[in-house]
Amino acid sequence: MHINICEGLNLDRNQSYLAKQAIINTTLHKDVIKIFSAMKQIRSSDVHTGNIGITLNSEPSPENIKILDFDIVNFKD
Amino acid sequence: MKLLIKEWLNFLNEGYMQDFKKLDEMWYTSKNPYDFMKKLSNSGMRVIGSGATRVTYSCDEVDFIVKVFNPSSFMYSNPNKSDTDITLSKYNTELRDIVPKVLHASHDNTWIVVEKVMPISDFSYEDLRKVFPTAAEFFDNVNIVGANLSQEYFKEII
Repeated sequence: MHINICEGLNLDRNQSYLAKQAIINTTLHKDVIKIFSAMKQIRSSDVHTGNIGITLNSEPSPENIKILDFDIVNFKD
Repeated sequence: MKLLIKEWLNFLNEGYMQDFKKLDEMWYTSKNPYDFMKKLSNSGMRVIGSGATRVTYSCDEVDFIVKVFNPSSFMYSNPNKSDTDITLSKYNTELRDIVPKVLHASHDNTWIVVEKVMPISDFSYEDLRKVFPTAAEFFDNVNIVGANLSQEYFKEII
């Protein structure tokens, strides 16, 4: 998950400052925590939109996030 | 209660188990990956993806996919083996929760059956907000400061 706020959104200096504050104020929910936890053991290059999928459950939630294909760098059984 | 459990088991058998039995029959006649892939195609499944080491089959009628280790990539280790290990792992819950579950496999992991996973592009903005709450909160916070991002930009944030 990466984004260049200033360039990507064409924000002026004041807006950029406010946007950075918005990032700081964003709470990390289970979606990010789940991906971060997995990244302890898989390559960060495997974590991109094209390699992330969602299982077909009745109620969508962070539980449904799946990484499709990856190399394990630090497997613990 | 016993009747309920029996009905439930019958339901499972009629669903997944019938399909898995068919896959087992296809495999055990020759135990040859090329034959197996040919039989998958003949049974109505189509290739939905392929990587360096695996070819993936599925069709609209089933909610699982079959990943076959490509025999021509024998110099690489079989990723089906690690997928099975992760699903069976008792302790590695961080990885187990984020990898599609292996539902069935051949004796040597030449092929595995995993739950079907759809790409992000197939989901609506409302559903994606529920799956990625951090991205949704960030999206709202950035819009509050005047960025006025459209819903299409939400997928970029993810």
